[in-house]
Amino acid sequence: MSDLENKGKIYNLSDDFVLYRGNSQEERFFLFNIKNGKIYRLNKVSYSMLELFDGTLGTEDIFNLLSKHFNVERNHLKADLYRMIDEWTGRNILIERG
Amino acid sequence: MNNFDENPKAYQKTFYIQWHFTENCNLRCKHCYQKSYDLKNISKQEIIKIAGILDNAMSVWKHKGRVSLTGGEPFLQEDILFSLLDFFSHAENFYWIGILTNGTLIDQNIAKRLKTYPKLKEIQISIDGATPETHNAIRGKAAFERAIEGLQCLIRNDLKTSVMCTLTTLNKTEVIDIIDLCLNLGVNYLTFERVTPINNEDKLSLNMNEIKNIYEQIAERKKLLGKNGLLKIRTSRPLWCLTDSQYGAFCPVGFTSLCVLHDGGVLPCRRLEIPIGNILNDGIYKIWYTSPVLWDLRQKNRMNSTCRLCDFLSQCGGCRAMAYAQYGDYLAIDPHCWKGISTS
Repeated sequence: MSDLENKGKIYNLSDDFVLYRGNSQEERFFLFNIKNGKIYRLNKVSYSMLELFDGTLGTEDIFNLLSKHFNVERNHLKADLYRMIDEWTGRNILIERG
Repeated sequence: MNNFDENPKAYQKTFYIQWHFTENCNLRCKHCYQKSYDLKNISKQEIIKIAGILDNAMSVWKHKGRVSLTGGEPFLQEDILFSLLDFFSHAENFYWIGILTNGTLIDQNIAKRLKTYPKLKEIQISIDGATPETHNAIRGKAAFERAIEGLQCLIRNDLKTSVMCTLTTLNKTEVIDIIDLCLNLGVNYLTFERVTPINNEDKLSLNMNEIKNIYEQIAERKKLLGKNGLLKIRTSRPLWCLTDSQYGAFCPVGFTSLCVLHDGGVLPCRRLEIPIGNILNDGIYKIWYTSPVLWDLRQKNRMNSTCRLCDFLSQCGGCRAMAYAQYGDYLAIDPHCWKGISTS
């Protein structure tokens, strides 16, 4: 997915999924599919990314927020974000707002 | 992003479902947790649908399922009970079936029929007194005689049996006699459980000193029976570790167990009466993954009480249902914990 294609798009988490952040001694991050029961263990970056897809923020806004939070080279972060969007939309985890 | 299925530990766990598939009951026990005795059950089709959902969940979670079928009185809905026995006997993801009953409707024919289910590993009958006088004062006229008859039918047919005794002020002096009764009858397992004051008057509840005294008597008797005796007294529940450090276990509620009610409603445990959803309306996964109550119960460091810092946390943790019934806070201390009091 190219930069231009993606810039203004808005996504939200599908109703079939819920995010969970465990707050015991060890931080744990999960994505649960409440329809088929599948459990995905996330790392902190993936969790933080998914959390931002709230149906109001555009992809560019999300990229800007992430670049402030994570000390990663901008192009690298952008490539990662777009790759993840592709994967998540492919798995129907993220739904594009019409 | 890793699929959790890759975690090898996930394959080893068992998961326990206590399913009260009917509220209909022929007794009106003084300590009963039910609020009503609704005769309107959901359809058989919906009940089998729930069974399918449970089997599917065990498959997805890679857990080996155990299910206890109960009520109300399960033998009042014989058709449904045997349909569920058929279902779980063929269900790939359930390896263990139990029935929890008052025993009064079991006869020779039913016992013979039950014998044909190899996965049916245990039938538990409630006995709340060592004598007809005590038991019947709690459960009603002739309930003792009929329950004992039911128990004997099961034993004659070589079915594994267990007895559940709910400890109250009415039977607190009879625990040793109840153990002897079970020994004489040839019962395989015996469980004592404290009454949880949900609907009943507080006068049935025992205080901490009474529980301490009773648990110590039972633990002593258990030691005398030895490990190889026919009767096994179960002590893998909260507080038992205070009688012997080898006993006790952290309650699986929130981790590997759920209670399903007659209408598909779900509770964390039958005695922890906080509705967390309905299997038919919400599906089991939404309930299991999103219930704040279940997430609280899973995080031992959230307990508001001394339990969190206790040396016995891993083998006790207190009964959350008892804390909720007593204090309205399921993370509070177990009101019967006597660890802090002097034993001299």
